[in-house]
Amino acid sequence: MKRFLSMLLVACLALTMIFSVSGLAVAEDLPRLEKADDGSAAAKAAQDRIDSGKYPTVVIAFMTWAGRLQGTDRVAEKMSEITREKIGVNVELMPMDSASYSQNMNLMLASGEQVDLFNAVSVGFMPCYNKGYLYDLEEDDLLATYGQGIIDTFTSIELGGCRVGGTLYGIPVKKDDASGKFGISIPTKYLDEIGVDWQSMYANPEDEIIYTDFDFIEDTFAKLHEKYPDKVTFYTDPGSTVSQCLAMDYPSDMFGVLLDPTNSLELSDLFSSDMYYELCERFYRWNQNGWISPDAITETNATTTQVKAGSLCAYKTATKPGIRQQESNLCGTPVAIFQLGPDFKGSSAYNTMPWAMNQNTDDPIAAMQVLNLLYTDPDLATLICWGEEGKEWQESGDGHIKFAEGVDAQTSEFYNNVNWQMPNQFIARIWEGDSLDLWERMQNWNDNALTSKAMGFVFDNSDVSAEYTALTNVYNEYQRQLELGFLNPDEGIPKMEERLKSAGLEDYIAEKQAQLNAWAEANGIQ
Amino acid sequence: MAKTRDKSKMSKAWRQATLKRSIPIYLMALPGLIYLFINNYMPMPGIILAFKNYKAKFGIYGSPWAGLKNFQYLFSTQDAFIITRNTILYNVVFIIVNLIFAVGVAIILSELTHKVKKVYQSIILLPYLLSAVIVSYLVYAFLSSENGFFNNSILKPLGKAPIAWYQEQKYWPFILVFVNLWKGIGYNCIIYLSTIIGFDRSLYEAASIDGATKWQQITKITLPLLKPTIIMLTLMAVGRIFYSDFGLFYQVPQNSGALYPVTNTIDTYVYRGLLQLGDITMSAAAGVYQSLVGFVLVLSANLLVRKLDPENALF
Amino acid sequence: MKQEKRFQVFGHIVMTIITLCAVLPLILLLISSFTDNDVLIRNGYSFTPEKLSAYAYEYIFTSGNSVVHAYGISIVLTIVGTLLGLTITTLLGYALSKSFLPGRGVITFLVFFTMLFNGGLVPTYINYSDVFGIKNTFWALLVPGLMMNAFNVLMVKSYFVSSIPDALLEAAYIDGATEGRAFVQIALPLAKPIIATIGMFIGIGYWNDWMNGYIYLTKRTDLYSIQNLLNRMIQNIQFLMQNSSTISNANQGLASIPSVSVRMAMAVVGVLPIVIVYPFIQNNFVKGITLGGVKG
Repeated sequence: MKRFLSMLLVACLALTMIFSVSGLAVAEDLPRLEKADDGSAAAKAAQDRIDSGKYPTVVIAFMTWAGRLQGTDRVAEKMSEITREKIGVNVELMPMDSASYSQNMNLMLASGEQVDLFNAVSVGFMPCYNKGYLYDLEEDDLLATYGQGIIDTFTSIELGGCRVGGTLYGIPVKKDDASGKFGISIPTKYLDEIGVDWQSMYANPEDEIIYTDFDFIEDTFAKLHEKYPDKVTFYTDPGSTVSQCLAMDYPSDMFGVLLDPTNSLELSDLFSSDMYYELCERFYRWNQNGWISPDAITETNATTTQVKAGSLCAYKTATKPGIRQQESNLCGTPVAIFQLGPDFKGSSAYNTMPWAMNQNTDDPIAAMQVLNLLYTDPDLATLICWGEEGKEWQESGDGHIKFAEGVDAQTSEFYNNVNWQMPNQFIARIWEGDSLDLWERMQNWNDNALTSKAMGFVFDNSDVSAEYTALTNVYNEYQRQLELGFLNPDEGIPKMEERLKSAGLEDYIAEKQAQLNAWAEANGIQ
Repeated sequence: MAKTRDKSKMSKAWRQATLKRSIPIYLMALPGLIYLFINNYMPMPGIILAFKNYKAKFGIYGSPWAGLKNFQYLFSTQDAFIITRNTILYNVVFIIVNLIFAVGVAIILSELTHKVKKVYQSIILLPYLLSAVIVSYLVYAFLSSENGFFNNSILKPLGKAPIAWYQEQKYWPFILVFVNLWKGIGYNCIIYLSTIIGFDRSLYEAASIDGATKWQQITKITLPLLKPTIIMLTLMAVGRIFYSDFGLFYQVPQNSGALYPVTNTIDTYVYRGLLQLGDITMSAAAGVYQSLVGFVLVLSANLLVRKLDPENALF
Repeated sequence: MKQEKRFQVFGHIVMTIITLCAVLPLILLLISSFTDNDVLIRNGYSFTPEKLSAYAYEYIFTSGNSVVHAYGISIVLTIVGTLLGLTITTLLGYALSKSFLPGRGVITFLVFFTMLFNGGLVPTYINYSDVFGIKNTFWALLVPGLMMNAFNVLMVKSYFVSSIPDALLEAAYIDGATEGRAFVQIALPLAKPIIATIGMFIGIGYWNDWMNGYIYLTKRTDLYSIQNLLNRMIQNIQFLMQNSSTISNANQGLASIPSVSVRMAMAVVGVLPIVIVYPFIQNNFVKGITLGGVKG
């Protein structure tokens, strides 16, 4: 059965490859939102601003790994050159450290300081909604009039992912929306050493992922463990194990999930499911075999860092186009990617890090026009993703771009590495190392992944927040023990179940189900 | 009786004189009071956030009331007892242990004559300057299952089986008390040390001539003189009995689930529960709850002190 | 005398043990910061590492913001903050020690009250950022929270009450000294021990603080203090580690960060100046105390 499934997947993938040759034409007939006019109102608004000579400033906030780099104002000025000319607006960039982004955003949104557009990553889309930070993007036909490029970029279903109670509060980011479940990454040098002929396992020579089954993986782990007794055989980040291994849909959180998301809208308790038991039982067995480090429960280093240091042989990852290159870079050695589950797109695919507008914004029209331009103008997209040509990057000669002369990741004045957070990285230039058709492949892959029926549903848990805090504390207590195989699932799961139940799991799921049903009815989903 | 009559007789003049003397004193107090007003009292009305259903559009004061809904999560679960118990018990133990060691070290340091005592004093202060994250790594260096010093350098040579420290609850109350002491001792003893150094040395000289032993000097002179400071610091610590050092209880045990029954406190519980929720009203509610309990406790403790020893009451 | 000697020996033994407990982990910290990052991940922390490397320090001193500049900010901040804080704390503490002062009880209670209750982060932020507009200025590092707290005020107050004979000040007053002169010429010299202590508390508070910078500095990276800068680096790395698998496309930057050793090196960089400066402060501290000790 599993083999059959994986064969099916391979076939799917092959199909997408064929599609990708024909370009991006697939999405033409998909449902779109209606536009208010032919774009004349937007053009007029822009012209009026240019004529008046008074350019409003739109402040754009986002999260970065290294905070505000020195080139920020320079790049913002370069962007303003474009936005002034096209829509009569200046932009200001406000990148903030990942460590403080959530706190800074919360404080700024609460105090009424000027932030017009911001990415909701880390702050959280629903928390923002609950505190009333978000502007209704369809108020007075704002999107339909001034965001027509956004309407062309996303289908109405994709945009629907950012609706709460029918109101549109955000615009998704163009990124990998689906993820390949239960991917495992292993450096090829280790595979070669234990005599696994991984090269012959690709279904197609141009594939980057090997679809396989647990028999093979466990056999491989056993060999790895024997060959490298001093290295840890396998590690999985506890924070993402369940979400990246199991092909189920978890609207907003793990308490109440869709176990059969492509067919049914019935929420169940994940922790009493066979799926969860099997996962824990498997890891428990792996742990007993000595494949998981006794220190795994307190591990604080990223998986790829461990591989790079030579202390780890294999780890779990979520797959997507470009994954082999990405993980090889991170590990500092070529890896092979195996995948044991399907490609799947869950209900939260479009609202994990949407762009949103501050309810307090002075000029919603200008802000919407800037956002619209960020989704549609390749020069602007390249600037916000990669910085300025000649300063941060230069042409590499084959269609890619690369670091400018004398610049590297450490010394660059605008190398934020957060393109996944930018409105539309699909239209920006492509960096050396990634294939030029990466975004076409990504688009096709997104379009062809299994999709949850609850796609676009968001759960508002503000009425059951007390239960939520209790459930989270219980789950936190058991999560790493169970999902890294330190606790026998036959004993651990019932214990956790009992505590979750008394923390109000059933009430919580019932509330979620009620909202899901209402949502399904409103959207005409059976 | 005589005194009151006296006072009322010269009451007017007395009051005038007092007032005249008081004006410069008020002026001295003014900068500090202004600072308190700006830093503490101006934001103080924000406490009502805990009773609001916050919506940015209406601001803190205009948002609709939520009653006690934001407090519900602190009490509605089975964990409420455990987190309250842990918070209080650890704090009580910390107060006692820290007091004994801080006073002990301060007395020893004050009595030592060799110059090396300055070296002691500098070094024991250093752990206080490290952040909780760094402390957690240092603790991990000692306790990690595979590479930790305890397992590798102590238990192994003794032929004992290694211990999975981060999964064994029974050791952690001791570890946490020790780490807390280790981190704070240098800082905590400073205040006692400076107080002791301020004492009148002639008392000790007189006692010495009278043939009092060192121990007698400590128990009969130093400790009684230290009493006001000890009472005051303890009272202040009682006010914070519902608070816990987040870094100590979250970072140092590496957030290990198996240890929650002995490491989960009000602060860590709130943090975990609200991490994804990001609810500012619920976290405000936790703060109000902690403050309120501390307030009641410290008032009662102060009342008790006033009964037993009116000189040393806080107010 | 024999008994005195016994006490001295006992004291040194106890202090040596406590000092060793404090210093051993710190030596480990120092060695770890000079250990090769991969070796740290493979073998854990060790007093005798397989391979040494100064790359962590290279990383700290070459990446992004200038560490030297941040040191400068920290030093200025600590000196200015300590002086201002000491001034207002001592003045208020002294005022509250005056038993004849009308309303003393109420004021003391108001001071104490702030120790237990506060408006919370959001109202405090709105107050400083919207009402006083100190966001992205040096004031934001100096003023919020750190300058004076109830604990210090009450410590000063109790010191004045218990250690400075009222008679002394009364005598001065009767001799015709103003309140101000009595304070400066009599009370202050006698209060040197507590002033030195509180000064150190405030100074450490300023030196160690990174929260104010976190909250109030969103644009002015040139105002980052050393602790703010280091904490940002540490927490960014930690955030990156935790999210490298959940946020896809995570990043190539991760590959070059010496993640473990750099954290250790940062701790060293943050503590080192205090290790160097502390003996000098302590010298003055002790001198002040011996000068100020009440004689007879």
